[in-house]
Amino acid sequence: MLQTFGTFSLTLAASSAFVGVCLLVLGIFRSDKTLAAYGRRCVWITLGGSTASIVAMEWALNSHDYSINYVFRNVANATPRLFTITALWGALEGSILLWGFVLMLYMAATALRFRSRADDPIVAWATVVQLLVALFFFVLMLGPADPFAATGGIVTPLDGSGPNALLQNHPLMAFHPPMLYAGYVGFTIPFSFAIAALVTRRFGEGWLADTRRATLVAWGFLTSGIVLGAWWSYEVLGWGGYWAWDPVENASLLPWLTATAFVHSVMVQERRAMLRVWNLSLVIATFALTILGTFLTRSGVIDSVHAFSESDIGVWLLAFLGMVVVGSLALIAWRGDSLRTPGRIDSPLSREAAFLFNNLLFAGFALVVLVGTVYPLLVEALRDQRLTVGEPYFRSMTTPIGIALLFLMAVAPVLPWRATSTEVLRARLLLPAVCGVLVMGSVVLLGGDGIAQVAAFGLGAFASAGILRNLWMSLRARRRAHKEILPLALVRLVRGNPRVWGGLVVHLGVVAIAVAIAASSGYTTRVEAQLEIDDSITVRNYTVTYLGSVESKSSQKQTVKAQLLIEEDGEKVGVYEPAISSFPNARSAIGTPSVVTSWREDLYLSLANSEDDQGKIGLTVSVNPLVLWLWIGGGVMAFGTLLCLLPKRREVLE
Amino acid sequence: MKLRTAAWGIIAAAFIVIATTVAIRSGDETTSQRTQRLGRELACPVCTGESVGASNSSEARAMRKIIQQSIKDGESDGEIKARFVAAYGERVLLEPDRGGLGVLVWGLPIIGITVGAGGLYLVLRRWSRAPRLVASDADERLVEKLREDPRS
Repeated sequence: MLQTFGTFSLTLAASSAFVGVCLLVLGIFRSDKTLAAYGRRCVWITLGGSTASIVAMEWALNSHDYSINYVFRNVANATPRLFTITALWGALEGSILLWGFVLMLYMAATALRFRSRADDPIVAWATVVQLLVALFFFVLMLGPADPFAATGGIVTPLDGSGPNALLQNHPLMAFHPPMLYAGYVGFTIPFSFAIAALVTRRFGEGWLADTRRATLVAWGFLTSGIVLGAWWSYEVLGWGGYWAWDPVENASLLPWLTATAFVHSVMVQERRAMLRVWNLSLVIATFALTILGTFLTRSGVIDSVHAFSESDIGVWLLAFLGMVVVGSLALIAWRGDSLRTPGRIDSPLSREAAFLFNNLLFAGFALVVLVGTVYPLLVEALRDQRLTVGEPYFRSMTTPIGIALLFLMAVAPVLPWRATSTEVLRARLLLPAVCGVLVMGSVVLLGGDGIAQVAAFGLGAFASAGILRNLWMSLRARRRAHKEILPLALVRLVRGNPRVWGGLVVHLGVVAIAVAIAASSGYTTRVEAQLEIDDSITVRNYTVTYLGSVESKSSQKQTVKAQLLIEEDGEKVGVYEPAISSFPNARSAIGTPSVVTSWREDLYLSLANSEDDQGKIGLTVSVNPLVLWLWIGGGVMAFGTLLCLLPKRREVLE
Repeated sequence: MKLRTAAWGIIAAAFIVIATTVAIRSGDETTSQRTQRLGRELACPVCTGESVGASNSSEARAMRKIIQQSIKDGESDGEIKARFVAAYGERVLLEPDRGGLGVLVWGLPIIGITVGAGGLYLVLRRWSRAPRLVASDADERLVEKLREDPRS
């Protein structure tokens, strides 16, 4: 019943997307407004079909309708409610279902926003492109990735096999994937407008202004999704790290890098009407990379801890990717000459030149990640040899780029547009440079080593001092001119140019993250121990004493918790319980680390094995400095992005 | 003004002192740091996508013990890695080869960034050398004509 309803809703969504494309294209060519209006209505019908399919799937999951194969494979009677709901995005078919729904939400929001300009050719063509993308995904769900496929067999099973053990161990699972999808999918909107600009020959800055919000929303979601993924990895996987350069992680980083390059270089085009081809290419590359990421992670071509599902949709995604890339490049080439603009940059010491360097570094970063991720495929194809490109490669290649980006982030915001003198720079950068050197000196005095680490601390201080100096000067000028109290001046200042101040807040978040990465990658202490009851181990200024184990059993899982008394400098902090759980559907046990968090450092406790025949547990204890600042930095970046989205308020002159 | 120049001089001097200290300090590595680094450079043979350093599996823990012992025995990084390659094959190395096909993975990004930087340098130089605005004779005549008779 639900199966029929689900398949029906997907068919409705796919066919109305198809009809919508046909009507809109016909309407545009014949200049028939009625036809185009009917075409636009198809967006709402597709949204309806997509919503119905999501409802059908959630209903099926929550009512344990095991006649649907997806439900059978991804939930069990004993699965808790939260993880039954999140099972929607626990495997491939459900993820694509969610993908389609999120895409329809973005399209509906776009349709509402542009309802007064619906007959504008650029909006009409953008809708056509969006509907084509939607059509592809709904056809995918009717074909190779059918979420409503039947379980088969004569008798419907009485219980399902349950979600992947790693996916039912932490509530962060409820937020991280939808955030990421909201990021990925959102880039369809700028992409569709970029294509529409090429088709309608309106390459000017109009489409940038039209899609600024959508791009920022998608970027904000992608950023939050990546940070939440790192957090999930840190809290659940138990290896003490948050980023493994795993192909799935790289797949989310790639579009983020090109999108970040775009949100910067777009400002050059807005100001100087330059870089049109480059910006179009960045938007197209970002969209293509989201599809490439989906291909890499969902086709099963690369081994990874995230390879939860494998299927034959790889060919489909690859074909779609090929169409996107070839089609876009052909369009750019076709419009080639008329895209040229006479703009120029006057001085390498200017804001716009800094944005060019920024783009060079981000594009280089993306190239490193792309090459490193795809290389194993190439080797396997050419030499039939399987290998993994891991952290050492990415670390040695990306560290210099990251340091250069931090330096640029410290210097670029103080550069004025057009040109500047070294004199102005020396005045503006003096205080930040003093802060940077002082922080570097303190890090070295405290025993810090590692060129990259010390540089990251120094540049972080340099950049944030620059931002705070800028804020302070603007506030002071404002208070003098308007005689306002500080909080009011702050609010009005930000509301006057939310984009600039929001961007600088995002930069502060980046500083926090950069410093946290530097500290936790360079100054971590890690000790492994075998402990009997009442044994203690001391790591830095923490003492960990093993008190005993507690076993608990539910129908979902069987868990052994080791109770550990934690003392810091001899004072009791509390009893922490890292655990190991075995799930009936998983071969190996899943560890759940326990983390004592403070603003200064984390004490990370991870159980390697429960009591063996000699009564000893295997325990890994690490002290990871400043990790909390990663998540704080992520929050600050999200907040900064929200600020950027505020409308600019013009002040009424009195 | 003089004060500011002096301040920048002090900053530069302090920076050089700090950089030298860090460079000297970064040379030596403790056994535990070296174990951790080598652990990151080797793949755990029984896991998917985890390094020896990251994995909690018994194999990875055994490998970490071997690394530690080999370091104490005075073996070089190359010798320790060769031992694991002999046991598990090339797949155990997480860092791609610097020769053969590996040239691609190391070289491509470096070439890409170098070419990009070179192009950026050339275009910035061309821009900064070109005169700011060139008004053609036709432009001048047009301006002149409008000045004389704004209504035309």
